[in-house]
Amino acid sequence: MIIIHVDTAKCSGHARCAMKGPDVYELDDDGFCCSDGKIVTDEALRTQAIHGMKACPERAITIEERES
Amino acid sequence: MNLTAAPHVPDHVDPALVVDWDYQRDEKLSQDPYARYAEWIAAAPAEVVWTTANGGHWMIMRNAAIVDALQSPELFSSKHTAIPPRAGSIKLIPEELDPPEHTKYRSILNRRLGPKMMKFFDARTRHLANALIDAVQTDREADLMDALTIPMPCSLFLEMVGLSTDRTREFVGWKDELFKGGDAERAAAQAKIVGMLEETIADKRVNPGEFDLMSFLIHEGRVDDKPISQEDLMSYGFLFFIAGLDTVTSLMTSCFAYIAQRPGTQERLLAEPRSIPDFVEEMLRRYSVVNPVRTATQDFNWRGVRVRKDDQFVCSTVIADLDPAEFSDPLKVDVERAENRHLGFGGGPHRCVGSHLARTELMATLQEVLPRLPNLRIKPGAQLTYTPGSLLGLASLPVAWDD
Ligand code: HEM
Ligand code: SF4
Repeated sequence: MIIIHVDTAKCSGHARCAMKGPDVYELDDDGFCCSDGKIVTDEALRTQAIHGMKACPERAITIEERES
Repeated sequence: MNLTAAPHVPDHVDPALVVDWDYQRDEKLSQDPYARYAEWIAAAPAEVVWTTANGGHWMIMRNAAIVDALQSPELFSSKHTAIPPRAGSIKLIPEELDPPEHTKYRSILNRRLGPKMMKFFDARTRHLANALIDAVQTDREADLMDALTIPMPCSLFLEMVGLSTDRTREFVGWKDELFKGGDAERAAAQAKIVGMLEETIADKRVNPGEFDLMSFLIHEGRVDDKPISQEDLMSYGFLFFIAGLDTVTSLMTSCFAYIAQRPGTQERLLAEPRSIPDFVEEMLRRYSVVNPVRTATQDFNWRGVRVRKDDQFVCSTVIADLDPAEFSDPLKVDVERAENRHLGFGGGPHRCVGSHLARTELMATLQEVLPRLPNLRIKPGAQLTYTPGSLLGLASLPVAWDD
């Protein structure tokens, strides 16, 4: 499984993560990412999670791999 | 040969970092500014260089360093938006504020212009785009800037502040005077825009609209628990005018120019509408528009250079988005780029608050217009040139299409 980390000090609400990973990343009403700490166990969503991370202009997202 | 004395370089600047690149006036910019910026990136002696142009300022030459500067407002202030600083213009809120002041004025905009509010603007864009195309479709040729990409964002701006789109043409005239006129014309245009904003605010105080941003700011906006002052409402209105018109025009024109120059692209986008969002993002990267400016708040050492308080920096989104260390083959349009963390909308706390609106406008316009102008192409013999200045954009887009 993977854990999504979002540095909320860096996130400035580009919403790119949710465009590339709509089933992984959620935005709050202001358009900022609110998926910090989210655990993704569904392996099918791994690619989306990575694409979302790689689309973030602020480099706010990191993904932690963990043995489930 | 240069007969004038060598320009003064301040003592704190390492001579090895000095160049003479002029991002505002270089003569090659009107031909292809992107190729010129790419040459500068390739020739840069370091990550941060000092140019003697425009009175002397720093230029940041790498994407990662530009992100760093934009994310560090405590060192890189937004108090001036021009190099050299311009005196006496209206203070732009929230553009020219730094945190924590900036945050108060900015956060009330985020929700109203956030991705969840875009349904309304999407529907309005589609309606306006079709009306503009109705007016020219049977002509089978037009300057697509006059016909579409200039009036489109102007109409949406009018709707955003709560005015009727009937005034679009009058408005386009003011905009040209403001951005392109001499000093007297600029002042006159500014006075007309200020008058229009004052009228709108007075009207919306008594007759609030349901969707427009001005009514929202007047009746629901709070800064320090107080209603927003008349002066601040004016500053907001003026900034939306400055920030949301030529930027969208530039990008939208680049999209259509790209399509019109490459046979098959229009058909591909129409056949695969799901590729349009990635196409728009790649256009935002490849044809970046804005050159944000920052001013040092204090003396500090940064990425190998000594910075003095009040030194100015261009944190160019064009340079960031053409950096080969971040984007392989940066001048190539590649809609399937695996990593496209472009800075077309800037970064850090001042990230374009209109970015969701701009994306909505671009996508909805492409979707509505492409099917209506079959076989879109550049008019034979036409040469595309760019308007000089710190904001990049084509000067005109003469095109033809079939019935
Ligand atoms: C494709 C079109 C657009 C591009 C490329 C663009 C680009 C940018 C960039 C790079 C910045 C950051 C400036 C800086 O850091 O100093 C910015 C800020 C801003 N933009 Fe846009 N913009 C676009 C459309 C719009 C629209 C449609 C609006 C209208 C609502 C808008 C309103 C603003 C405002 C108000 C700011 C200042 C935000 C702040 O200081 O917090 N922009 N824009
Ligand atoms: S792309 Fe990055 S900055 Fe934008 S909302 Fe997602 S995490 Fe935040």
